[in-house]
Amino acid sequence: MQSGPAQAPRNDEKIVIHFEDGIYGFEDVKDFVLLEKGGNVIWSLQAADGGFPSLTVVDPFVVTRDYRPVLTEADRESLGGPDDDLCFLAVAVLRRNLSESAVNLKSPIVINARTRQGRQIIMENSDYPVRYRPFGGTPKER
Amino acid sequence: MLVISRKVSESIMIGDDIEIVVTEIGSERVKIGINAPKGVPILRRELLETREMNREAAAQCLRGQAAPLSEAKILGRGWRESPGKLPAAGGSLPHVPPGDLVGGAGTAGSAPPKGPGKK
Repeated sequence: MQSGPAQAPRNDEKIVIHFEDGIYGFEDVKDFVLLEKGGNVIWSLQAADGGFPSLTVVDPFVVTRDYRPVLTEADRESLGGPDDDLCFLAVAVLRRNLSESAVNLKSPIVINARTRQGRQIIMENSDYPVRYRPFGGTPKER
Repeated sequence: MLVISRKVSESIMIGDDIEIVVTEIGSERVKIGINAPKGVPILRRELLETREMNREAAAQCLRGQAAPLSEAKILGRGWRESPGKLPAAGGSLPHVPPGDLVGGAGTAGSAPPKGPGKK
């Protein structure tokens, strides 16, 4: 069963991504939009109404080229769709002192681009750190 | 840190009413059962850390300037299932370059395309 590609929304269309469970720490907020912040690498994931919370997210595959997220069957079912509809983003804390910046590779934001359903998934079967330091840090945090 | 060695089905008591039972031991992980009163929160540590990190990421955005909603786009990297090569549940998914996931009139990711699954 193959459905066509998700229709490309017009540029002025507000694309709302629904997070049934919210995201960790903001469980009550269910609808988000993704705003581009720069270079197709950084976005903010922002509450669709009112704009709070708004989290910085980055492309995890740019952060670490060989990123291999591992989803369980249950995770994938919960996103309801084939894997090629999924896109992955990672929550980032960016600091002026770059070595203090961190990217959560353990718990990616996974969005089904077709259904516009999203979830933040804490990957059980992966050893990625919650605070990956792309610009250095102690070896332990790597 | 107190370190205690246990076999399967043996348990540890913490206080009077919290019991930790080792239910299964594998090569890489153990399964643990916990009996505790309803009011005691039990969380995987990474959940707590993820929550903390989300809040930090949100706090820093408060100082930033929000872009207008009209700029909203869904962008990211696409993933494709390659039948036969895909490991069983729990295996990692092969990485492919961005596909048709892009919303809005923008262009796809700027990274050079890589062959699907050929890594």
